[in-house]
Amino acid sequence: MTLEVYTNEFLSMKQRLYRLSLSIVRDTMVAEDVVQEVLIKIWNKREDAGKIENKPAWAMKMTRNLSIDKMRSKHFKTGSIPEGYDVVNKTHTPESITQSNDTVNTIQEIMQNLPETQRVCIQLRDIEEMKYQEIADILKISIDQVKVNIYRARNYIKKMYLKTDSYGV
Amino acid sequence: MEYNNIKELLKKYWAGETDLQEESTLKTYFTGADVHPSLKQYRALFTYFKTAGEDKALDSIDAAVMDHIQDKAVPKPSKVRSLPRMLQIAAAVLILMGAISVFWNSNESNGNKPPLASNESEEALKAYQEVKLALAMVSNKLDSGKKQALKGLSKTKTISILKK
Repeated sequence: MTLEVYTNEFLSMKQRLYRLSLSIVRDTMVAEDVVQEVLIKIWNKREDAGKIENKPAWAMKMTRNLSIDKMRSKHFKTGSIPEGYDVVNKTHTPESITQSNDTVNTIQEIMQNLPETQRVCIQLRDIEEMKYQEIADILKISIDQVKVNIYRARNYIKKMYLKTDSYGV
Repeated sequence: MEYNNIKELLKKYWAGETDLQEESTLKTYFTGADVHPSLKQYRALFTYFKTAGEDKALDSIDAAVMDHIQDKAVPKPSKVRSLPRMLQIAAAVLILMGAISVFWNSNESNGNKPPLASNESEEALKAYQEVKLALAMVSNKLDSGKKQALKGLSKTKTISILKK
């Protein structure tokens, strides 16, 4: 695999990999480390990586696995309220300006209460806009399981969101 | 008309039955200016989904990855070096085994064979004399070469003195 292919196929994915990792580790610094590690790993394995058919799914899978490893590692400290997720705060689109930080925090908190699989499913579907098949590949579960996870996650989000809605909007 | 359409899509969305196109329609609708009052409560949620997918500056990652790539831009040497590691070990083992077997054999032959026969020692003596002769000849030739060189050197010295 040449540097050009690597840049086009993998390095260009760093935003998606970062958001995926962040949805799992909930810490911007750790998420950045994970993405960096994954990208370097892929470069070191470039002989094999060139032959992989579904490169995005492969990179996402690696990112998820490494993120879970980081979460489980002893040195990882989890804060009660994640200070990460400044993805939204740092963007200055008209939408994000009109959206109050409280609302964003509320939604983030709801998302973070989801079980990991459901959370990643929502992340990949509603934020990254991926196909069911792609999500199934990354999570190594069936399409039906992906759908069930998304269904449950959306309903949980809806329920919790409407509960807090009175002050959220 | 659009309101009914969106309401229908929203129902499908909660049921987990929307496709990507429909989900995109929902996002566009809810981040737009004209959201029906009865649906305004969902505005923040879909806005969140849309903005959470936006890019963040991750230049440090780029830099770190590029540094790594440039450090190891020459891919082969590391492999070439790591591969013979096994060969090195194998070679060392082979040499050791060879040395042991030679040592073993010579030990055995020394032990089994009777001490040198007299004609053998004579032959050895002859070979020694021959080698001595050959070395003396080489030394002689080297010596004459040296003399010749010294002669040439003294000549150049006298020439340089004359030039002065």
